[in-house]
Amino acid sequence: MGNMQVKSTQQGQKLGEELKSSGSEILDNVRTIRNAAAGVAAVGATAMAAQVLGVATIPAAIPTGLITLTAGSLALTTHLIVEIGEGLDNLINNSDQRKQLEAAGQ
Amino acid sequence: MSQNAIIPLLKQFREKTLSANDLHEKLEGIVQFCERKQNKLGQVRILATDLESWQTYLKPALELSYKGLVAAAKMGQEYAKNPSQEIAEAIVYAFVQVDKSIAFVEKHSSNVSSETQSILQEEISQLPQDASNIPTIQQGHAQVVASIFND
Repeated sequence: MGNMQVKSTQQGQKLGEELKSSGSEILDNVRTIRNAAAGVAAVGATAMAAQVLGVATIPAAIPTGLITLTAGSLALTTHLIVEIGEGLDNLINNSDQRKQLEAAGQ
Repeated sequence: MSQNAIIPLLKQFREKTLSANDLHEKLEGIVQFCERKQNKLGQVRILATDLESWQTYLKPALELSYKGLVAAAKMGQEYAKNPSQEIAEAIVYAFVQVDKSIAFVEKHSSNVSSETQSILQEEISQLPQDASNIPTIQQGHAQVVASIFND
């Protein structure tokens, strides 16, 4: 896929293997395959969407071919997703920093 | 009664039982539904003791969850126009953000009162349904989204 190749976490790869091997039954109860380790939670709707769309490996980033778009509705939606990811990362970082400060103050 | 939510709609489209135009139209209804739900988060009454957690972490994370669903639906509309692997991956990545947001809320819900936890649990339990199973009522040409939140 060249520069469209997406990176994946070990968690995503594991889920991809599960999707290939286990069929849809496991997806009916997606919360049971929650894997929130290492920042990327391949759970719930993610697994269902991947299965429906034929995406075997959960992407760890938005495809680079979309990031380079500068105009049009596809570019706007791509940047919306990027903003959501950044907002979430900020929330998680702020939470972690606060915990560290609280731990240091004790 | 039909099942109109992002993932089932995408499935129908992939199976060629739903046209691109119909997919686009139905996803637009979901975008509007999720935007309404996101806006309603500002009206939720939270106990004073939980306000800081709510304002700092919980409400922003829930907002991001709904934004993620909006983004997934909008990307689904792009998929209707161009069903490429790249756009499919972008949709999945939007759902990664939704699930990640829900996990964040769940993680932080232990620090608040049982009353706030109940509110959070309701939101969390409904968010995946917004992605996978929003019931809708067909009324002629119009689609009315039946809210599971007493919207």
